[in-house]
Amino acid sequence: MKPTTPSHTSTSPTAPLPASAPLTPFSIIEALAGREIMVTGFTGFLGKVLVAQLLMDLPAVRRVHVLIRASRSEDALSRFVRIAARSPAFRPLRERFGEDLGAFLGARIEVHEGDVSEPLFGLGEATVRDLAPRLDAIVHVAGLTDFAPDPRRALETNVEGALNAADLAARCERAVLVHTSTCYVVGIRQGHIPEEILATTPSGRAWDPEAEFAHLQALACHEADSDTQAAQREARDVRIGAASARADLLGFTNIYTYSKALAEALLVGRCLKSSRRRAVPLTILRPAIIECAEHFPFEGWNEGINTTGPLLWLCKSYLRHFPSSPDHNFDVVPVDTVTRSMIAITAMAMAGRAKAVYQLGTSGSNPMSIDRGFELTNLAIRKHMASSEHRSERNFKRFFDNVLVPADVEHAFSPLKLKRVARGLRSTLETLDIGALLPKSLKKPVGRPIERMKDNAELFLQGADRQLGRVQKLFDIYRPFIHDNSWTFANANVRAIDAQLDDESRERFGWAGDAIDWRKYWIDVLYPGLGVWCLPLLEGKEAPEDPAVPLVLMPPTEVPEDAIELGDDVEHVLHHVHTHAAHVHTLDCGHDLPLREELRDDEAGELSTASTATSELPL
Amino acid sequence: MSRKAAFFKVEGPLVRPSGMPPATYFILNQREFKSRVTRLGGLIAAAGLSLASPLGEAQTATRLAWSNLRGMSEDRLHVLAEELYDRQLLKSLRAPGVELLEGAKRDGCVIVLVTELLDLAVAPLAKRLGADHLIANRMEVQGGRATGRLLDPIVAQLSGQWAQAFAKEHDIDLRTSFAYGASGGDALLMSAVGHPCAVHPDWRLRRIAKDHAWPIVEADA
Repeated sequence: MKPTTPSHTSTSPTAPLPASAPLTPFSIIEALAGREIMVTGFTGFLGKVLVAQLLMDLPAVRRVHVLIRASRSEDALSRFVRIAARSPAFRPLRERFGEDLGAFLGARIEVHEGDVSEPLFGLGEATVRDLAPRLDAIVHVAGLTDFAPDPRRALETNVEGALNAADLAARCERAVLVHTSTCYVVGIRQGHIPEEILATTPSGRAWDPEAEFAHLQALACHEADSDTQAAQREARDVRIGAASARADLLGFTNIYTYSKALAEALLVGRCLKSSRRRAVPLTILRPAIIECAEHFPFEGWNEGINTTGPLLWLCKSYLRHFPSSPDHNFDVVPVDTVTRSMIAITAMAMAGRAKAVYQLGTSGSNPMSIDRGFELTNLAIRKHMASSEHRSERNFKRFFDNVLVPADVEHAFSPLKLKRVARGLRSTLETLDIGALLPKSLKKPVGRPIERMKDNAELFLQGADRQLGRVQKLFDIYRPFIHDNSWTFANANVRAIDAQLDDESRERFGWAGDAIDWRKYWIDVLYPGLGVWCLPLLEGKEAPEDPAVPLVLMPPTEVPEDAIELGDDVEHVLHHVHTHAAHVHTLDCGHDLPLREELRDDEAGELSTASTATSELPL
Repeated sequence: MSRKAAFFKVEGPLVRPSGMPPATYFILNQREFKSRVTRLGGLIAAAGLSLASPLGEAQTATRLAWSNLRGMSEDRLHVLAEELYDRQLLKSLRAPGVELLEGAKRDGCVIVLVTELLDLAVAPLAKRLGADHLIANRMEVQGGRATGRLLDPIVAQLSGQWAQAFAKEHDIDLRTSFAYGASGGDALLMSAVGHPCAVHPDWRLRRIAKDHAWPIVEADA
């Protein structure tokens, strides 16, 4: 994974690398060898890549514990096996190990059925007692990334989930907690955003996290008057409305960032030493907008509906005007850039050398403006549509780039204005009585075809009205991120790690965000990647999956301890696994089950649109 | 011992000229519709200047033409250059010119491509043809945006002095070297070498070639 030198000279100043003078170079590989790490949120985009990369690049990690919630049709183990067998995130592992993958995973993975929203993840006392002396780190990735979720779910997953992770870490003898948050907990604060826990709310109010937690719990308690579906929906809307208003009051951009910020603030207090529990070393990771992989598992891979997908989808439509501020930063970071740094930070945390907060964004040192993002998107569309058969569409999109406009000025092509025009035309058509305008003799031969045309036009205008409303809704969701707020997320802490690493660790786990060539990434990686993995979902289709491979998993208890010595390489481990092949336990990998049912509900750390909004996109 | 070189003007001998000034493709594909129209006006002015004083003001006209790219992003420059290569240059290659180039390579010549286009667009062609040097116009870029200024040397009408300086720098013997041009503007470079050759020349170069008894190759024949 050799970083390439960026060819683009940015207009924004590049922050100098922080000076650091390590005494001895730090080896991630040695630091993590023989360690046991728990990862939550495995079924999400980030979690999958993190676990796959841990397994791929660090085979000497003793055990990766993955916490998976059972679904209605599958238990946790079956979900894991199905993902390992079919998810593109595991493609490099399948290619490397072939038929031996099951044996390798059996030796390295321990699947725990649980739920982050339950105390101690619902693991049960015996399991917790078993894990307590073994776990070195809990990397808490699970989270709800919808922008406007039911606050009840946001509370359970984003807030209580984080607190449960802290509780579990406290029960362990030495586990550190690496909590995945988001850069956007900063809310409406502007400009340079330092890597620190916020002492006040973004609107400048002092806040008591525990009192705020209680407040959010109270908001989430609002119940429906009756059991009818309409009443339930109404109650949910009331809860969402109240939580959105609260988030707005405190200066957060939405419920998601509000809940993540609250989790951060609560964790700081909960991880302190008390009379009943040990102090938990806490490290907070704040990725920015996580997007397509640059290298791992392979170029362009993405999963689910992330932030850039709907924007790009709108750019590909005939809409040309976007409410955006051209000079603001659009902080995108490839998923594998995040995961390699997450691994490095986890190792540093276990060694007691980590900082409190790491912002994993690019705006601090390799910024890309929103204007550049839109232009690159247009250039990507132009390049990839060059061979399109639809000549008129191709020419339209080649010659009419998106125009960035202020959100508060209603321009000629704003969705709201077009919506009004569509409504006006429709009401005019509705009042138009074709029959009355034509002489009797022409009513049948001329009037009927015109009536049909009128009906079709009314239907078209009705659809346009609905779709433009949804586009406006999407603009409203995106507005804080592409129009209202200008953020530059400092990333000196993660860049400082590079100076402490040995050459091999830096090569494999160093900060790769500064080496991103945005033109190449946007046009040749992100655009085609989203086209394959994200846009089909927006269009109601399915993203491709890898063909299922049979997977045989050895239960972890049957893997001999001596197979996992420090410095063991992959072949050595496999040799031991094969030696004990008699104990291999075969699992049905559930080939016929769809892989993506849980994609949108438990990935974390990234900025993502509300699935409720994206699922209503105009198609 | 000095080597011999073969100078090939890209527009004409190797690639069928589009008939439009080299900056046209970039200007017509500016990001904003308004700037396409206004900058096209600047381009027409540059073309007028070039026609009105064909020999003396070639560099000024070239500067003026490319100055219409000021403000264009480096990203767009790259993508348009790539498009220009794929959509126009590659499709307009002249087989006889390419054969001449292959012959020059077999003959052990140092291959030098000379073009008024931007280096970004012609670099893939130079690589494809196995050229040793590419002499092309280069746009100055600051902060990710084109300033509209060309970096030296400006390739408009390369002079004999330029050829001599180039030959000295690269240990080339101009007396044994070749030069292939197609327009009147190429005459100065051609006259600096021992073996000039007009390839499908325009009327001005044809007249000069006949006057000096230079060989003429009809590329599309």
